[in-house]
Amino acid sequence: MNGVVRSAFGTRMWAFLFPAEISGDGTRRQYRGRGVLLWFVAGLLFSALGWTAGGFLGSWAPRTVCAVAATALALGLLNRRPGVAIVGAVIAAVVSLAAVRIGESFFSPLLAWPVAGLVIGVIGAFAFRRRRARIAFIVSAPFLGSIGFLAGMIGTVLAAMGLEDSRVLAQFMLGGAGGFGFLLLAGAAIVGRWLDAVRTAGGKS
Amino acid sequence: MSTFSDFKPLDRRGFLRLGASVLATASAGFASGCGLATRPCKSVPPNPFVSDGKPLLVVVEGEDMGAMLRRGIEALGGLDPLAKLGREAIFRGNYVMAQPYPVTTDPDFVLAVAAELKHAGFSKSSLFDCTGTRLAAALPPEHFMQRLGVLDKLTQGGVPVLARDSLDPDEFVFVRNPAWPIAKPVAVHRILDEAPIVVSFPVLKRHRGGANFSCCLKMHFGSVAMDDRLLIHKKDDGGRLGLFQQRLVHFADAVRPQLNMVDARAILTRGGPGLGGGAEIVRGVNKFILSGDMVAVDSYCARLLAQHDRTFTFDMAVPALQHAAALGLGKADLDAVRIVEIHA
Repeated sequence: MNGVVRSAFGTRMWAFLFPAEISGDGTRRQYRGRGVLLWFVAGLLFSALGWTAGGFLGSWAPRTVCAVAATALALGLLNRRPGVAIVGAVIAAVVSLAAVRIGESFFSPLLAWPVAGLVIGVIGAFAFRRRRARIAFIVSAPFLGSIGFLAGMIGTVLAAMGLEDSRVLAQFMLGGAGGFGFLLLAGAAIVGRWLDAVRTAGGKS
Repeated sequence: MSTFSDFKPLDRRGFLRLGASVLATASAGFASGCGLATRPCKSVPPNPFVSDGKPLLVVVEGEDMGAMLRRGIEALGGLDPLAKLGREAIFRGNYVMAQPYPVTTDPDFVLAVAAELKHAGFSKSSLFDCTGTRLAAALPPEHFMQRLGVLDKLTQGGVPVLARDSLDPDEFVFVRNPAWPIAKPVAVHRILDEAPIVVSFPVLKRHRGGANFSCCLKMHFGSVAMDDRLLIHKKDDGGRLGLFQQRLVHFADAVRPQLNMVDARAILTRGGPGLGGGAEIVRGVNKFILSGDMVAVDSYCARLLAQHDRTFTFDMAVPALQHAAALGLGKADLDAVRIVEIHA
């Protein structure tokens, strides 16, 4: 194994996830932007794993609560605010549980998803520095969450229809949960990148 | 003894190893958390109601429900063979819509059978049905039974109702019989999969679409997850490919009730599975058909329906009956069945 490969494997995890960026003046500095892809993947995985873990506690309600809490947790951790992540996860879980219970007698427990999107939007907004980014995220989060949920659900149903497999079709809500986390955190990353960047001296915003 | 200072940050190789381990654990957790494991169809004891090695099929004609039921059970040889299998029974009713008998199972018939089972020493009988979902507040699982007054009537009569969510994957288990020509598993409800005794209460109906008629086999559409019902409806709704009739047999194979009791005092003809679309109720048929062999019952009932419905012929039921017989669910040839016809 040559030195380059060895050093590549020897790189610390943090540098692996957030590699050094070469700026315009040729100097290397720690990359401080949001790795958009990481946010996409983290949103999808956390939400889907939350949904799966909720299955050990019960059915629709615990699954929804765990998926939503996991998404809020992912958002907080990616913003490097573990405390906010835990508080956000708890608040999102409690509010979504209430929404599920209300939805069971009024319209549908699926109401919990846009409600959870709004809660995560409000909590997540504290991570942004600029007011326009905060407002954009609060307004867009319930829509992004709902669209992601619907798209994930429809995608799973279409895949199941194509495969003609009820095992896949049975996971339509898992697909919805994954879509929720995916689009919500993708939205956070994009809002952060485009609306929350701070102009630095001689640099780009 | 390691100290905090010995701690080394995870390098890339370590991270990849850790990632692979986490992925493997997550995959196992996912399969478990989502209930994706497939098992064989439940093993059931042989038909407890046989005579001289032939399945027994009892046809009772009369007008008094209680008397008909008692005579029918006597002709079956009593309920002791059933009681040897357990002390609790799960009833499968047909409550696919909010229309009364003969579109759906008559709750008085259910209560009469529950009383007979109690008399035979059963400690509990519960009615299971799987229609509707908690994901829609307007269509919960107990919706149709509530509208029909069945829920209150049965509950007050001492028969608890188990109305379950047809979309909830946590409620179902995936089963598969290697002999099925369609290899994909079927999600059957956990309650039915685990019940030692299932007593089925089909109603005899004409059924437009792929099934052609509904009785013992077809009623198990309501025993499996909505996902399986939707998939076969999408694949072969008209039944032209023959897959619909095969699949409805697989659904019945996943349940395999120990006793089938068809209440054919009235039958739905010309259309179905509900009223409307030209469907007509024929009253005065006045028969109960009882047997442990659901294929034999369907074979008999298809002939009975053909006598009362000019839009239906026995041949229309043959593909499902042949497939069920080939899978060992029972006898489609009534010469191989001991039929006892009585009046009450």
